[in-house]
Amino acid sequence: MTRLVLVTGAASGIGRAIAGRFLAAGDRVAALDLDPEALEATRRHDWSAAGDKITLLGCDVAAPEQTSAAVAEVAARFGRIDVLVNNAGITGGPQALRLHETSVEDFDRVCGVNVRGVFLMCRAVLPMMLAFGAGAIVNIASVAGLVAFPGRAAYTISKGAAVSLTRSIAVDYAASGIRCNAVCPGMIDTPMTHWRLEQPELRAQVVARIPHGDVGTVDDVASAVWFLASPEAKYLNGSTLVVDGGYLSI
Amino acid sequence: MSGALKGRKIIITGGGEGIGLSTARVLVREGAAVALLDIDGELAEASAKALKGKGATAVGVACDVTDAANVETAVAAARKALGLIDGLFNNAGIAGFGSVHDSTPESWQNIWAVNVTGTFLASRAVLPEMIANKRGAIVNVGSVAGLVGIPTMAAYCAAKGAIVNLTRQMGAEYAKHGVRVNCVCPGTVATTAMGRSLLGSDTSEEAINKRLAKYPIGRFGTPEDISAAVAFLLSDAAGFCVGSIFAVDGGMTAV
Repeated sequence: MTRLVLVTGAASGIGRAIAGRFLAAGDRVAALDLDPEALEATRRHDWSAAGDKITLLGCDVAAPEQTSAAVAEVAARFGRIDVLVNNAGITGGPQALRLHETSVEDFDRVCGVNVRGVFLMCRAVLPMMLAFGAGAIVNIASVAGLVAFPGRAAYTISKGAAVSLTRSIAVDYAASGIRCNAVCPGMIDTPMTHWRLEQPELRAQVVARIPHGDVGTVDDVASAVWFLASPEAKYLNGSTLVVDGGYLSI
Repeated sequence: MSGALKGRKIIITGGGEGIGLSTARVLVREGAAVALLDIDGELAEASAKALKGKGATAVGVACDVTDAANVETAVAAARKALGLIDGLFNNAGIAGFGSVHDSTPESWQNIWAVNVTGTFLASRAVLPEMIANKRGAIVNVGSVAGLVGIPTMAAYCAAKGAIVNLTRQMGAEYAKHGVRVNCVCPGTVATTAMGRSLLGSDTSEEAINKRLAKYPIGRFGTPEDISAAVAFLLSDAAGFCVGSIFAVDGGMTAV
């Protein structure tokens, strides 16, 4: 069955790989991103053969009027949303910041995308899933939702909230046929992390903490999302699938 | 997934029935050859024969996972039939009831031996060839009983908790050798013999409903629910999953 899959933060990195995975399988994709020009560029590069199977929408997931409008637009065009992938996320800049060093603005910005954004997208999409009596939500959290990243107060807090939000939805909507799970990636090579991995010393530091011996790829995360959204995963609800090369095991 | 396990040679302990056999069917569908090890050798052979009847490469071997020599012999037979082993599903397990103050040392030891020692011995038997080939995937079976405490299931909770952390240990140690070790934690799977034993002696509707109320999704799991997660973790799609503890429980541990 062809599904309609809504992916946020789809223009680059993990979101781009997720959108590509569903498209390649024949699903239809609504690709949302803060940056509509980046979406167009990615369409030209990756999705030119997808035709009307993909629709692009600029959307700031932290802005309720924008998430409502985007979801209404997708509903009008496709009539349904089967899968929601809340992938959009930000780290809060390159500098290490403990809690008392974190500006209120940075905290609000990070939690605005990583927590409020997930809340708003779910809030906009859930009524339609309730009406259909079916749906799968996959949130891209982080291992930072399960342990603390040193000097990353806002990010760690926001991803912990994303894991809790996943459980909350799983428990409240299971009886309505809606599943919600989270993928918790460890260090993945993406445009968001590449600046760090480009520096040999920083890369060595990162890799030393990963038993697998290397960082992960966007495809590793896309595979996990693909599985959690699949019909085979119908008994999975409220689970966190850790994709971290063993980072959490040591 | 289709053909996600093409060419893979996978041993399944406790493979004669239940989650083990259900998983064998999925692995075979994805292109793997399977060896079903089971304490009941005749059951293992009959189940393997049924898989072969549908065109699969499969072999059934009698195996007591608590006995090191027996495990070595069974794994050697599997290797002879399939070739070098690059996948292991440590599925053999038993459940049992008993609190700490009223469990006999014998029942404690028995539950520990099949679940924990069995996982150790089967892994021990296949790891050398996986390390030598720099390729392998092992999936252990934990349980929600390895994540939360369940009254009257002391030994079972202890054993499954041990398997959960053994998974992290093995994941951390063998990843650099190209061997990934992960764990699924099923909730109650009511349709198997083991699942029925987990439901306890009180099978009244009221008792069953009380157990069921712990599952937000509103039903117990099926073997196929668990098999899907196992097949994913054994496949290259889970290439960056190492030491992951994956609850397949309909939300039981989320609430």
